[in-house]
Amino acid sequence: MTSSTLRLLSVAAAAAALSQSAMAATALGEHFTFSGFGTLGAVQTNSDQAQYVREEQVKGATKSASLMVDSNLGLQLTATANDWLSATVQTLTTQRHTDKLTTRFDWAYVKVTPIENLSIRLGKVALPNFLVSDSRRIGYANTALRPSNEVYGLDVLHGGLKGVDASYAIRLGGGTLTARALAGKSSYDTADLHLDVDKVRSFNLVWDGDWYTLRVVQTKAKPDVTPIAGPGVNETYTFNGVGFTVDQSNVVLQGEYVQRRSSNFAALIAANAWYIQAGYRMGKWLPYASFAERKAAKNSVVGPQNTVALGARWDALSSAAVKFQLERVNPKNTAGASFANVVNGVISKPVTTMSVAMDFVF
Amino acid sequence: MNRNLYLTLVTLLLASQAARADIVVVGNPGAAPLSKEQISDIYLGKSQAAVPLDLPEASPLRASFYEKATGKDPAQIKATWARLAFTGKGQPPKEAADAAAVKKEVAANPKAIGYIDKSAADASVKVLLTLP
Repeated sequence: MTSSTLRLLSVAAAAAALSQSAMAATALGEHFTFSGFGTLGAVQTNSDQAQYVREEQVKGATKSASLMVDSNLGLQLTATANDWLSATVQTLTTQRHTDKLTTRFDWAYVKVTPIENLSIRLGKVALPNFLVSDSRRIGYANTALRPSNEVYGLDVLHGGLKGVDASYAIRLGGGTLTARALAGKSSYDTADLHLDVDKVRSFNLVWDGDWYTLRVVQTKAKPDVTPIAGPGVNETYTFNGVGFTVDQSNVVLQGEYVQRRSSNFAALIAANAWYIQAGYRMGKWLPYASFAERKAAKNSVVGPQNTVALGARWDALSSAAVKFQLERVNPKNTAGASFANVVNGVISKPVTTMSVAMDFVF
Repeated sequence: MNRNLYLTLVTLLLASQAARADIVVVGNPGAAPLSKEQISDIYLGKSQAAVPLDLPEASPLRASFYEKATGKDPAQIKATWARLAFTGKGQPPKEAADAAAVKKEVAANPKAIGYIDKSAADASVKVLLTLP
């Protein structure tokens, strides 16, 4: 071995060590931490009959690939005063209910921890209606490339929660039981309509241990439906959910069942949805498969849809994961749950989608 | 050339020793011992019973510690903290530059804990748990 070969090896080792030391958060002095996450993702389908979107989005993928469905960027600044008081702001740039990338403060709150295991947040937070609802935009934190639209597109409280969020944790049976109550205001936002939503009340119970998570949630809210139904209609929106995760011996399972209900508009709103996802961790690779289904409930007109997905997560770099996902989406001759701008209002054949994304944190 | 080769061999030897040696979790001299489960909970953000310190990601001890204490690999740990940090449920452990920095912080802060090579432990800190 020559001296130059050795030097080259040393440089390569140093470069590898440097790339490994990229931190997930940057301390700015004693009290501030700056961090961020993002996804650069492309999706393409085999149909020009409709645009494949995610949740309330209005512009998506056809036979032409779209970067607008999954790509996003989140930036977070946390100021920590001491061990019981902190403040956090987080912006998220992504496509929401307009056809552009928009940047909003999705989180802006003051957090106090008056006693151990109790934390209270005041301000704006995400509404935890799903197992990973408050982290679904953080691709790096999740196994799949994107959460099942059948389930995650069902909730219509797009505006998060402005109010108060209190959580208390106790040890229970080898795990931790966390009870969380939220109260405040939200909003319903689509391209055509904005409704203020008052009196949002949400209660969450999560029991998690080394290898499992179980959770139940119920959220009730009072949307102001005057713009669509005139004054004097006392509407109650209800969202129920149960979910679980298992991560044991390289087997990764996740599943949820949710119900959406309305006191006055059941015929338009009532629906049930569920998914199950299974994966197997093989070093840096995590292949997974999932099945998701949405069905109308109480004879409503909600479009049914199911999706079979196959994918893989590859932890390619120390702070970035690359994901591939192939889906067959069947909207059963309706407009389905994952589509916008549907030509003639119905999609006659199942749609195949191909996606690739890189998720990163810094 | 000989000097370069010697340095490389020594570095490799030290690295392989670090990967195989016992890791100890150390705390303030006044701290009570912790179980492996408690340490796992603290380093995964499930318990606020102590303030955890990390070694830099480049340290071979770091991946080895997480494997032994929590059974998770570095990508799983980072994904866990991404979920917690960006949903306001906690901040990842602060990094200390090396074993000496860990000992200094732990000796000064009664709530701080860290992990170092067993051979680096001294009277300034208390060994709370040994991970063979």
